[in-house]
Amino acid sequence: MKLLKAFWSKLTRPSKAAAGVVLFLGFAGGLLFWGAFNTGMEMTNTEEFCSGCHAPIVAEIQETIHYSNRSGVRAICSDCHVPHEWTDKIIRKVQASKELFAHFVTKTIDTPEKFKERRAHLAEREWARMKKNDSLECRNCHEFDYMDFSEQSSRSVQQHSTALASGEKTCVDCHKGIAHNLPDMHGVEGWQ
Amino acid sequence: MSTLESVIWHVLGYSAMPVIILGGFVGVAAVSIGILSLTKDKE
Repeated sequence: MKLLKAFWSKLTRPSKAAAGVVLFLGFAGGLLFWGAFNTGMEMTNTEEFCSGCHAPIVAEIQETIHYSNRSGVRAICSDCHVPHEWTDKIIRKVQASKELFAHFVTKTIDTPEKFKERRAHLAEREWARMKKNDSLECRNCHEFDYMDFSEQSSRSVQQHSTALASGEKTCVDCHKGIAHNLPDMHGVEGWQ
Repeated sequence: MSTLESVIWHVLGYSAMPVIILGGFVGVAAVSIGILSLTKDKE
């Protein structure tokens, strides 16, 4: 309490230092804080960080085109599972506190058996999230306007030029399990 | 995710933003006051 009072007293009295010095401290401190905060947040977006708890799921992507392909462009976990916009990202990070609680306290997926049992539920949540935002994370890289239908298979052209173009369907409606193994798809629309 | 759950996370998420910014201000102020106390503002 005494420390708080001293802090408040310092805050409410003019400094003896030049205004330039005070402004510089605030400016430099602000830059350092913002840089450190965003660097810290970006560290939670790395594949190494995700692997800390989700190693088996992260390993699954290595068999897919999003990991290795002819052009060398690849996606990491956060590219698809974390919104890129700052405000949406913060909301997602706050929401992740529930996942940390589930991981460390309720331990809902701490064994392969428990994970397997819960996998369909977890996948469905992610599919629902992506359907709700019109597959935003897919569209961060894959832009419909620049799709060259002449390079696509006839089946893809048929779907993309109709259902996707009209907005009736979104990417994740068809492209499920593109980076991970699919869960039990019993009861999932279009996968019976 | 239900609508209620989504609303709760959005409220918490948007609430976190001013907390982060004010927390940063308090942190920077504390460090700045500490530095100033070493020199000009020494009592």
